Amino acid sequence: MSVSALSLERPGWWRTAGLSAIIFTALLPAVPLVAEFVKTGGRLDALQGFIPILAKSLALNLAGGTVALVIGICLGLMHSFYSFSGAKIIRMLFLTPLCMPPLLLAQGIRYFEIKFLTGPAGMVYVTAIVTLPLVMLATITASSLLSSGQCLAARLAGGERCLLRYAARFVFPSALTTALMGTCIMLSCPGPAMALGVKVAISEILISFSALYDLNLAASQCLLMSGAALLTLLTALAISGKQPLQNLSVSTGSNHPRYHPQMSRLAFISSLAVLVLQLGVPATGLIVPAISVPDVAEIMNVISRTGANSLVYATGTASAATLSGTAAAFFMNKSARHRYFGTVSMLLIFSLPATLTALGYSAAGTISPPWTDFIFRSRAAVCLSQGLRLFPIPALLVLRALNSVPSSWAWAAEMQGISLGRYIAKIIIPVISGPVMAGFLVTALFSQADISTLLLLHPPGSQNLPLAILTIMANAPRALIAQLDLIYMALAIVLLMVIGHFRRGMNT
Amino acid sequence: MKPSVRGFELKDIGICYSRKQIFKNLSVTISSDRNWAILGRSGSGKSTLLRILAGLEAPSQGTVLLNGKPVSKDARILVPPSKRQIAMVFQDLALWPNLTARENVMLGMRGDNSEKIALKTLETCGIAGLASKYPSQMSGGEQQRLALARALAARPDYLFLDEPFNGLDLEIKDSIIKSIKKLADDHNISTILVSHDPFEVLSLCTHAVVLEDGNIMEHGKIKTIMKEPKSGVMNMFKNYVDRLRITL
Repeated sequence: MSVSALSLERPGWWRTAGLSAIIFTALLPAVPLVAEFVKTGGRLDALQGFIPILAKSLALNLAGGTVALVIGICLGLMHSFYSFSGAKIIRMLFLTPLCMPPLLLAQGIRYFEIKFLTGPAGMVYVTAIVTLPLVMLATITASSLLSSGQCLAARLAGGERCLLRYAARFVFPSALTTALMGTCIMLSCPGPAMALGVKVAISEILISFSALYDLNLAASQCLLMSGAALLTLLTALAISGKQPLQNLSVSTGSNHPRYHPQMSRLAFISSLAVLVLQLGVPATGLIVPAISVPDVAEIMNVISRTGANSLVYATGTASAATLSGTAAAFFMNKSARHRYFGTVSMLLIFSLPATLTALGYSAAGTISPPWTDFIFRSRAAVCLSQGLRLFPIPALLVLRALNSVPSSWAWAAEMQGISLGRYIAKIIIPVISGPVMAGFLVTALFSQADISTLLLLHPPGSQNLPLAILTIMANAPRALIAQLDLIYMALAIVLLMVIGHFRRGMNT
Repeated sequence: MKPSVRGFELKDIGICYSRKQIFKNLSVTISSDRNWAILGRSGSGKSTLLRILAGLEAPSQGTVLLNGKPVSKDARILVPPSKRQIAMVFQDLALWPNLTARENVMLGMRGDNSEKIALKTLETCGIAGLASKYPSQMSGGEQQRLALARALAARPDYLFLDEPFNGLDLEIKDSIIKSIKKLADDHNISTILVSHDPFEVLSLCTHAVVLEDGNIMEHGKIKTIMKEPKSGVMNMFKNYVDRLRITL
């Protein structure tokens, strides 16, 4: 069969092969770890002490996820159904913690100097504020699937209360899956535990690798933590059914919030209140110590030392993720079965601890010949490791855009004898360019937030800004740390604004 | 030797989706000197049949001949759609939203005078003034005319219309059908319309193929079929026309 615009509409073995290749490549770094684990029988004796710590970490993160689930559903529904002034800006600010290393938020909370928030409660707090935007996004996206007729029917049946109750039940599966996904992601985030002084599973893994130089033990611990994350997410998917996955991969409608005197006011006030807790507390915690004469020379020294590396890691990771994600979206696009299995696989890959792939790279590096160092012991290793974990973000954004393209566009092109190249260049690229750019920028931001991969894989002397902050955290003056954190926070907000310009094809 | 027919011949066509048989051993001739309607209930395979004729889908079995030459055979497309002298107006019109009206018409054209032909076709369809507008800036009727212009710019022998008038009010529908009829007569184009609206069918077509349960139930001149209809669809058409006569 000839290659034409219709090829994009046809099923084929190449879709299964392409999608499998990308998923296999993303999971490939875990293979040396599994091999090591099997070879040594899993070091079950050494894991005895790790299991209670993992259980504690999971419990703390689940508590944070639950708080985010409850608040996220309420706020998400408010933003879906009621309009109020400043809603767009508030929504964008809600997203900020998602694009920042949780370490910086934890530092803000620590500097806020409420004793209660420096221990495990602080961990719950950080998990909640990072997971909240994910739950909100899932709620807003899921509620956009409700037609205006359905909303009107609920309003006629029992007013706003009935609408909110009905909508909450409808969005719950999506919100639950997202909350548990956030929980899994935070499980492998070492920053908050280090800043708040809590012993958690990820810090134990890093100690095993970096302090005890026991890759075998770190691998066993990491695999156990990955198993816990997988079990958590699979439980969520089993409870929620197919709906959250369908919401993620199909192009949804848009919400039409309307003004309601009481509810709009309530939405505004509750949004502000949550925003104060979510962003205000850590930001204030950073601003207070930052108000002093800044050591400009030292700030410039840290930024100049890490700026180029940060840019290399961000663009490298985003390029790898966007290329593989866009390809995955094309492979998944035209078959419900591919979409389903692709989305499940990508959710699982995204929720796996970042340390899994990073340790896998390290393990592969130790058994590979020296000429492979440019892959396993370089900045490229960081970019590849992060890119292959973060590719689900651009993949889902592009998939949603591709789903909005009806088959008849390719049919019309075929009738007119338009070649595949011309069809892609003139019709498909304009449709996906917005989501591709948004995916690129989001993964660039997320790559900076993932400190554990950097910790394990960065070549000597090539830290990025968040890792530099983590390294000097213990000895540098608090003002310097706070000032650097605030600079990063400002950069994240600016980048979020830029991402807002590339929202074409995405509904939230 | 039997002379070849000008038009389409379908021989023992079969098609199935996910193990569900849509047609089995379907054979029919659609000559090029008539305006045809493909009729049938929802899900009877009307649009599938049109796509098989267009070459957008290959039949699982059987042969499609165009002017006596095989163009699709046993799950293979032998002649691609763009080489069959066919143009098509789709149910959702399939206009590309990021291109202007002129660009929508020109995208598939080659040659130096393609812009001239595109503008001329837009003029013929009565939307010359909208050449630089995007589809989203046009009304439903104007979008319909743009889809028609895009189809006619290819100078086809056959114009396929896949329920393109859905959602239009009677006045606009009537005006577009008149335009299609005039353009088809002027340029010697045969039309094949998929529809379940008696108004559209009786206004535009002289002959019909009626699909029922995966088979051709009736086939031929509409006037003749309506005298003694065998299929449910044609019975309803007859009742509609009778009721209209009585009412008027």
